[in-house]
Amino acid sequence: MGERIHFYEDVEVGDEIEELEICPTTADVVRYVDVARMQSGRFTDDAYARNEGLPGAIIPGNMSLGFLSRMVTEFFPSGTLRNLTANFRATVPHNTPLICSGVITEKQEEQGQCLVFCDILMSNETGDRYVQGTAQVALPTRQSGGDG
Amino acid sequence: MLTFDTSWIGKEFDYYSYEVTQEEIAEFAASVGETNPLYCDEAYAKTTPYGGIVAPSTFCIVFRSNVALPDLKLSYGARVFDGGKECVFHAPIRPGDTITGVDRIAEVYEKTGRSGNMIFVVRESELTNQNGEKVAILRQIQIQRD
Repeated sequence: MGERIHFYEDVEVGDEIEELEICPTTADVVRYVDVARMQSGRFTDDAYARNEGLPGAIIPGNMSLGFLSRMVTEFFPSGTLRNLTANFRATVPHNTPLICSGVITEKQEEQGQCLVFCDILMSNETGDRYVQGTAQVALPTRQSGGDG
Repeated sequence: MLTFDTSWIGKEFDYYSYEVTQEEIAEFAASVGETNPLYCDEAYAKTTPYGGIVAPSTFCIVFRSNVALPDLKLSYGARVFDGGKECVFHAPIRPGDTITGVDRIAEVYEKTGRSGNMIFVVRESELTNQNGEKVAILRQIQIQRD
């Protein structure tokens, strides 16, 4: 376990979220699409995907969103994810090392909640951007103790 | 130029309902590499502010409908792409919940990019649990172009 932030007071704008490095295999994608009820050849079958004009089977956008969500919630273990957005800029291939990263862009108290705003990104090792988005997390304060 | 059947804006076109199991939550969490015991260990989860197992936030995407968009009579756009998502999380999903969804067309608009004109169709799904509590709002952006 690397660095984690538990309380709103410990957040500083400009802080980077600890990166999550993953390399989803075809078996991982098969497992995801099964439980997420997203069976389609474009996610699991290279020939089917090529027939659709894709370079090969791709990782579902929803799965990418799941990885980005995981990165955010692992970094803010006592936080509550309120909002997540993602723009899918390019298809994500299987068996490719991927880096999920993020930076804190804003923090503010709003309607009794202490909110942290982040830009989030999924890219490959050479910096090609696959998914770009934002996350909003409610954090507890030291005074409130534990509830996000 | 974009033209379409504007009568679809705001109209509900699909309804669905699912029961959530603890096994599904655990399997979903494992499928994206989640290791937080909050998603699979009841004894641990009871010690957290949630008071029991909850699903990872993006689990709510599982409940989307498999029903295609209605025929909006778009003036062009034979090629279809997943443009993105927005998820607003209101309440956690727990084992034993029955999640009900309703889908509507929220927006249709046109943009001009480097490769030409594109149509953006925003499908909005509103999810509630068996207590009538809003669980999440999902907005899925479908991009269509020739």
